[in-house]
Amino acid sequence: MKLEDIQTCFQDHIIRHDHQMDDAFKALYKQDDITLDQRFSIYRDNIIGGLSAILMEIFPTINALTGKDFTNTLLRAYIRHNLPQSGCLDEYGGGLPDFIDTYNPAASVPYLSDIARFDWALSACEHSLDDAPLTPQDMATFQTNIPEYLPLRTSCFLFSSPYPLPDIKSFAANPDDLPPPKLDDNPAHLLIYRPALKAEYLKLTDIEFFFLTRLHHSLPLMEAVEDTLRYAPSFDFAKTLQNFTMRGVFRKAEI
Amino acid sequence: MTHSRHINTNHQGSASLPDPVGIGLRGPHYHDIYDQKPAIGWLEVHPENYFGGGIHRHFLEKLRADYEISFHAVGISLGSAHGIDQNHLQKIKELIDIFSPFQLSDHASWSASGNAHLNDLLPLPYTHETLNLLCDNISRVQDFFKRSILVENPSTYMAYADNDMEEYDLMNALAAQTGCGILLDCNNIFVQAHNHGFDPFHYISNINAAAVGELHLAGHSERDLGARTILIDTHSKPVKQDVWDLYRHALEHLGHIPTLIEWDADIPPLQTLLDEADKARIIMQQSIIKQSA
Repeated sequence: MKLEDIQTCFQDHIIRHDHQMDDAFKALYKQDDITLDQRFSIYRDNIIGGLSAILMEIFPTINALTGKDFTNTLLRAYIRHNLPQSGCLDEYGGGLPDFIDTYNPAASVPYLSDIARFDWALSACEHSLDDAPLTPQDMATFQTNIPEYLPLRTSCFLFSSPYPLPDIKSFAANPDDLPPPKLDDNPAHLLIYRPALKAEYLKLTDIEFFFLTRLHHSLPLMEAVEDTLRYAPSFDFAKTLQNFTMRGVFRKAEI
Repeated sequence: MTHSRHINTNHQGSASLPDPVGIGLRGPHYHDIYDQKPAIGWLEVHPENYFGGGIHRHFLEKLRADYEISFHAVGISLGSAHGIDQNHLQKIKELIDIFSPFQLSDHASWSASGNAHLNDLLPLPYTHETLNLLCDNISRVQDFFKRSILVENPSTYMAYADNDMEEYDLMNALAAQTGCGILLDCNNIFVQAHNHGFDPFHYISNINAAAVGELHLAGHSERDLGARTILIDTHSKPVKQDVWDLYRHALEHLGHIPTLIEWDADIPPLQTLLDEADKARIIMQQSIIKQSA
């Protein structure tokens, strides 16, 4: 067998439950009192177990909410269908929330995929590339020179959910100390950002969320302001700008 | 930080180190190393952990001011028959330009097949086809980085039936044909010797000493499979006495090569790694005294 075919068969046998080794592939390996399946199981455990451990670290709230057995089964199902595509594992796991939406055993926990999105955003935020924040001193120049665009920093993530994700996450971490969160009619608009070295989150008003989302989608600044004023005439642009500049949310580079 | 002497690595392109023994830099030790500045010759990092920003990049930048750094890649997949990921190389190159590591290495194994990266160091048959493939990929990587790299012997848990050569022959040939150096992992040799039934001392005696640029030491675990036990290269325990004995032999055969203590899982307090590093340093000093007597 050519090396390329050996590696393809090896991968198939590690990942696919139903993969049968053909005789030519089996004959490649030395056989002794430890069976080939036992030897492959070491690699399977290393690969699947290693990737599960990485995902478990990225998505701690899934484990806290559903327990280790459910989480392990879920993660292994995800891994078998979604192997990493590069040697940079910071990028691995971003597809898990969408996978949960299609994973029938999770159907009874409707907020699980959004919790996964929240965990993923916190992790991705923490690993995002560094960039320089817009400072209050930079903002002072806006009186004479309003920038065309006001981009959010690379580490910023925005999303909303019909569920109170921060409350669910807090409850999952401290179920004995906190009351169960009210799930109905309790949506969350969230900004995940990295003011220093650690990722943090901020609950936004729907007006703030509306405005920041437009900036995040690369709308020109004045267009975003006008849109937001149409959506909410009470929108206070100066105060919003000051608040999020103080938090280091805007990127300096393209000013 | 006090250092007793300078030892030169014996592979081309290597820098002069203030101390021959280094430890792996891992997240749980960032603050302790930064605060304590322990007397360690160098720090090893997996560059893949520093492709992004935030806390990891922050501490690497801080610690680079006090320590020499080596890059030990785990994601290039030198043995992949499907080619090398150019984007991965570019990201490492950007880090090389920033951090100027004195050494750069990866493994004589494969991880990537097609679009999938399996996140493990998988075994290769030791055939002429494999030798040619590894040589092509190593040369391509060295050309891209414009520097030589070290290639590490792997741990394996299964062996191919129809090898054309022994693993040490393959390692020597890689060095001879590409100009790369050998990163010799004593624990990997011991693990494989147990798993596949060969003499680890014989393996080391057959390695071309002039090509070796770095030694690795780590702990392994045992896994019972019926009547047999397989050793697994877990990097989760102290170095076993058998591996220290092999290290002593390696120093005598290969010379006084910069040595790394690796610990990647169940990471203990920093002092445990420093104690292991001290042990390696003492064995190296004993070897120097013995050879100069």
